[in-house]
Amino acid sequence: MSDGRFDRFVGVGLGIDVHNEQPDWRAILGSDLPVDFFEVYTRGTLAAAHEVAAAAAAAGDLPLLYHDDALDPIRPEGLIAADLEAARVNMAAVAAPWCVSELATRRIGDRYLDFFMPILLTEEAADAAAENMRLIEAALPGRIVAENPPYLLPVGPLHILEVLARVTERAGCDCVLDTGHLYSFQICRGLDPLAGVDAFPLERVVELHVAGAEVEDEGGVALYHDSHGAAEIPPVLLEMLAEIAPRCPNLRAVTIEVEDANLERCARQLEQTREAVAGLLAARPSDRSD
Amino acid sequence: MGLADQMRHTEELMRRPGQLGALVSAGGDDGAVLATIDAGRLAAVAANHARHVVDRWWGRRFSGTTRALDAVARELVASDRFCEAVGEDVTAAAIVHATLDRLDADEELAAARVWLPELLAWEYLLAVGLPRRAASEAIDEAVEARVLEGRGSLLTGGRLARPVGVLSIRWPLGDLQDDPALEVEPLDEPETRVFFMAEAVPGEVAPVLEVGAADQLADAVSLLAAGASDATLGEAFGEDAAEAASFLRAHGLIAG
Ligand SMILES: [Fe+2]
Repeated sequence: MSDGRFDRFVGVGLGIDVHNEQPDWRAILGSDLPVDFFEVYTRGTLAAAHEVAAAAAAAGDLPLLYHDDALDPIRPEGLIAADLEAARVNMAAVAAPWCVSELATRRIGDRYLDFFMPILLTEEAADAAAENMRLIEAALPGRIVAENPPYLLPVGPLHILEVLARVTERAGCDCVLDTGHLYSFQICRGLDPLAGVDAFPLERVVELHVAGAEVEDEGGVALYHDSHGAAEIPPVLLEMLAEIAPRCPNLRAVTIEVEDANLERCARQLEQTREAVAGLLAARPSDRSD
Repeated sequence: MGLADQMRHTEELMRRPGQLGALVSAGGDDGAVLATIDAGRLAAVAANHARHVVDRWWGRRFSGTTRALDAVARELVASDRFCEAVGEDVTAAAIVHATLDRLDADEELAAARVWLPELLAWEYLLAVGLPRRAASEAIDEAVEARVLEGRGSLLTGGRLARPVGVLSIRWPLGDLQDDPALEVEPLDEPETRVFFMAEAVPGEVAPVLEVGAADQLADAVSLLAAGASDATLGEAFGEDAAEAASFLRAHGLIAG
């Protein structure tokens, strides 16, 4: 399937929640910040998706990706039809080639959780998620792409990269590697930031994420808080990005998740992230503006 | 058994980390998966999680109560009350029942028994009872009856255009809310306070207004809730009735 303008490496974009006051995505569109695409997070009303699509088209036809946090694709009970339908219409509205869904859930049975539960680290969990990813893809107007979720408490014997590899293989889908989420897992297990990357099928990675975060000490235990735009990007994540990005032959997009950031922080994080992947940006075909 | 159970247990462990040993020793596939959990990390994550939940669910609406009984609030996430809560405990059923149950049962909290129920009732009225009624949102009658019992009431209907709360106050609640560890003296005399939502301004959240030293006003409000006419008010209070009625009318609280 063609990914349209994402058929090759597009560059560095911003993940924005269209319902947040910050950052003001309209102001970003009107600015000269070097943003190559938006990854749109929306929920509820379809109007917001249409609005951002129209504004992006007006602002030099900025390409869009779509991120959906409501699909809960790891539930063994299966998917919820209304959530699938919402994802379908939102994704169509922004005309994204793929939809990013984290391997996590906010629901167990009928109960809403107070935290985002990441996929259990077992083969059974990977297989259940893979089955759901296949069903999601069948319902969407484009591809589904699996993202590794953040961890505070790993449950199960496998490494998250082993689970992600199994999901992508079984579902036949590509993936997003979120560097912060990966780092959160490595902290839990006391591993190096890049542990497991060498054995991972990096040809599956179409998108990389970086985001602001804070590491809190709770009684001597390090807890990674994935704060996105509410914090600065830890330097280790930029090092991970610089290391991993050139090794992903099918990389199309590097997304900075900046929800809640002000414009000044967006500008700073764009500069830091572009610096980390400067080689890839420079190697883009010359018909692209930078 | 299997994945669904393992996920359910993981959720439960976030709230009840002490269950880990029992779940692991139950054995089987589930026990083997849960045995991969680092107990020290679980304790830290659960403590952190409980604090965040307390902050988000009750921190703004029940700041004094949760500060006074910080440990109780954090243990609340492990209770059945927590699982039964509506949304983020929008009706305050979990926090009210848990706080009052604990106050009754725990001798170490004997000193707080005299003032904490009053602080809880006050915070309930301001953050739940009045605003939820004003927005026509469901309230939990049993919770409201328990939290206001012997301290006040929430009046509606009759000639009242909007709900009005009445509380008999014996403690300096504002000071206790700011610092529950404070050694405070009770007020010299109990004071009747009347509470109601200000008239709504489009696009703004109406604040709750609180009127002190309001015995007469409270009496007028309860007569109006029973449908009393202006003449009845006049018979009850003489000239003061006119003053109370004009105050209530100025705030749009009298219908008809
Ligand atoms: Fe991400």
